[in-house]
Amino acid sequence: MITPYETLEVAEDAGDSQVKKAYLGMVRRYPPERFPDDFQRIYRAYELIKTEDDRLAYRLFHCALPTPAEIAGLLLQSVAKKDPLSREEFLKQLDADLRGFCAGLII
Amino acid sequence: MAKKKNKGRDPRHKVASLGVLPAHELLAKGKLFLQQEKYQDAILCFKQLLKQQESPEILQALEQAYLGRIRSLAAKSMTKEAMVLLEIVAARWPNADVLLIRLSLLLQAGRFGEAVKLYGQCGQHMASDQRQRLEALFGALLLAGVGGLRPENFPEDSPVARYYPAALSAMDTFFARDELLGQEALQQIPFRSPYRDLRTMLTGLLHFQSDKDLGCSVLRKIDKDSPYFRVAARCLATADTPEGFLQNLAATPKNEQYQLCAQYGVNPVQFPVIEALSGSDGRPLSLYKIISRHENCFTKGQRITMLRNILPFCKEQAQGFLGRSPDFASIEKYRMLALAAEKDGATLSAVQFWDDYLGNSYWSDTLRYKEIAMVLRHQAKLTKKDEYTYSPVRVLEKLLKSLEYEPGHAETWLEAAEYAQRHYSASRSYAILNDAVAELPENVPILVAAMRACGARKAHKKASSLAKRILEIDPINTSVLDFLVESRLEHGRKLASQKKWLLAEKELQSADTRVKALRYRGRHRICLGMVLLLQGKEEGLPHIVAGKEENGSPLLGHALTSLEARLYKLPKGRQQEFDRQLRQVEDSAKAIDRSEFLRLVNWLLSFDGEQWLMLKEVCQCLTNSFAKAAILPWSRDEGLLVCKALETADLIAALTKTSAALQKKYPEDLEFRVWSLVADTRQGKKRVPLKVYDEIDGLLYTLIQKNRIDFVEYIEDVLGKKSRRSSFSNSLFDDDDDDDDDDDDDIFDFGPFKIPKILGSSEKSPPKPKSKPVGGKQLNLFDDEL
Repeated sequence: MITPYETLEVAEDAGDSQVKKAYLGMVRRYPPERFPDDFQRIYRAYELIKTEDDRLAYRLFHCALPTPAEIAGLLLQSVAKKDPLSREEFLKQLDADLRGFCAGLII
Repeated sequence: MAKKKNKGRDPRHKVASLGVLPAHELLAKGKLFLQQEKYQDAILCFKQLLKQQESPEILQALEQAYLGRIRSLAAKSMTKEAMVLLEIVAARWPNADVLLIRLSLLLQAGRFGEAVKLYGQCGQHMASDQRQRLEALFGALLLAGVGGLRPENFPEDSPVARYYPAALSAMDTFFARDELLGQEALQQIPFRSPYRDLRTMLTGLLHFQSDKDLGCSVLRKIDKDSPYFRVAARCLATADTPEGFLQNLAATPKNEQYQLCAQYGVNPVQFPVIEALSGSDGRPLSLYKIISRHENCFTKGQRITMLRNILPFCKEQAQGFLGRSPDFASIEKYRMLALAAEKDGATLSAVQFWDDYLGNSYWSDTLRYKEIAMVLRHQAKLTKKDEYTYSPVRVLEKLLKSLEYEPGHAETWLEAAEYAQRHYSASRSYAILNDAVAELPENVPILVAAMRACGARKAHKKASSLAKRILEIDPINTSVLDFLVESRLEHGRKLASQKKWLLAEKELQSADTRVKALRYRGRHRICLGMVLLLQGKEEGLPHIVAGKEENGSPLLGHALTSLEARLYKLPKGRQQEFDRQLRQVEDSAKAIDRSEFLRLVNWLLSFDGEQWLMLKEVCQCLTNSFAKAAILPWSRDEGLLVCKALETADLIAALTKTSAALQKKYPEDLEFRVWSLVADTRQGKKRVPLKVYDEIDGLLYTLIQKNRIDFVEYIEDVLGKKSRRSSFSNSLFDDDDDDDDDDDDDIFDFGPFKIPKILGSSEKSPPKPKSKPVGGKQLNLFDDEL
């Protein structure tokens, strides 16, 4: 359910060179030898919007029935999130978790 | 409405009812309540009892009831109420053991500083596992900086303070994303320290980036009671796919589903839609219903994206849904309706919806020309698919219209030209290609197509000029180089037939035969010799000899000479002389040259028109070679090509021998058995037994199941030709030959290939030049035969 533009993190009005640049950037971030599944996803997205004609054809004729899981994926922000945790995020999460943990604690 | 009073739960009513009971009954009842963990009732009982008599036993029982009540309130996170009761107990029973429950309540209330202080007083009296759990919690609180805790709050010798610097340093290096340093720093945290779970979690996260499985296995080691459990669970959830999440959710009991969703980071508002999705069958209509019922759970962008992808699959219902949807403009609705019609197989409606889509477009907007052209091309593709209303006129119309909007689209020019060639005329195709060349003068595929069209129209001069233009752009285009030679040779023949001897000689001399393909090597000299011979000049013969030598292959050189003698229509005597020389070369060869033979096979399958007919005649001089070919070690694919070529050249005896040998070599391949049977039907026998056709029928049926459609179609075509000249058919039907009654076909059903229309011997049409061998692209066995 994620569009190829979202996969490549590129604007919908991007030109060929921007799409290619975004694709190469993503490949550097997710090299195929370390992230084969992610790379496949990125490659497929690139193939769909590589050229101006491809992007136009995608806009006009592309439709793929989403699965319930794909729709759920849109809602599961934490599942969709691929970037590693930052220190601040980690501490924020830990803070909230510990408060929740203590709230029901009986020694 | 007045609230209905529950007498049983009203404490005043209870006190009143307890007041009438004697002391021993009250004591028994209180103890029973205590046992049943009904602390509130037990407190009431013991308080009532104390009014009647005061004894240490009753006071102790009351203390126990209070402590039980405090614990039950704490378990329900009713911290404030529990604290009030705790103060009452502490005041009344100063020696009561309330430290642990006080500590729990302080932690629950978020009064961490006081909790740490209390732990300092009572920690040494606790059980070791309780102490470890608490220290792990304090360590986590300290790291997260919750409630303003600082290392100074802990005694210097406490493990929490002692290992804090190591834990902090491990966190720092981990978040600096230095894998090596991170691992080293983590090793500085002792296994028995309060930061053990932190170490496990960071190790898991470290692996998680490079090896998810390993990372997950480490993270799973974190216990449910650990303060880091939720962080670890969330990381594990990120490793899970949405599919996995929905499966987990479907397998989780109803009362725990909400908790699982929270763990995955699902917003509580979104829980109902996730729940609906986990039970969905995934059909378009049910997905549409889920989205429209829970539309507030999605952003507008998400909703539009999903509907764009779902509605085209809702077929005829899409129209109703789109009518109600305020999210889409009318142009977008037509697009989606067109896609829905396509998915439904209603191509005619789809084409009409696309027309509506274009009708809503801004035709004058040049920025949208590309889009309009693309839609028109798409309509042409759809029109081709629609077998009921299929109209070649409309297809070509759409293609040409699209070219008005995007004249630079080479593929469409080629498609239109090819389509016009197939469904209209060569001249229409030629005209389209001329327009294409004018529009795209540098486009090689267009120029090549135009060049070939010129060649087919015998416009050799124009073809040559186009070929030259292509070679300027692509100097090593071998197919064009070959075409140029072929074109010059053909033009030479044409000029010679018009008795323009000088021009013909000039044209042939200019043919560059330095091309790789053996079929052209030395051929211009052979042709030159033919032109001279036609003029009665015997000096043509040395040219022919030189041409054969230049060709390099004795057999093929002589075969080409015999072929050219026929193409130049040399006197019969000359033709026979060259054929005799060819037979001599064939006889003098001790064994058949495999590669030479395969080239000949390839020519038989790729030559066209008059050249093919003449080559077939030439091959009749080489019957010995063809018969010997059966014993050569052919691969399966080569064998199939040889059989095909032998049938094409009407060399039936050779076909019988070769197919039998190949059938023996490849018993698994039914194709050779089919060829063997086809050869049987072509032996010139008066009657072919019906069982032969039955067997072919069965074999073809099996081959269709093996997806050998091309082969089956080819054989059907071959047998169709055979039936037209078969005496078997004539003897089978005594009816009038012109009778085209369909019932005959039904009675004599020959499986996948029907009996073709039967012609009488008088109706036999003379052999016509074959346009192209059936069966699509030939397998090219040679590097030089392009």
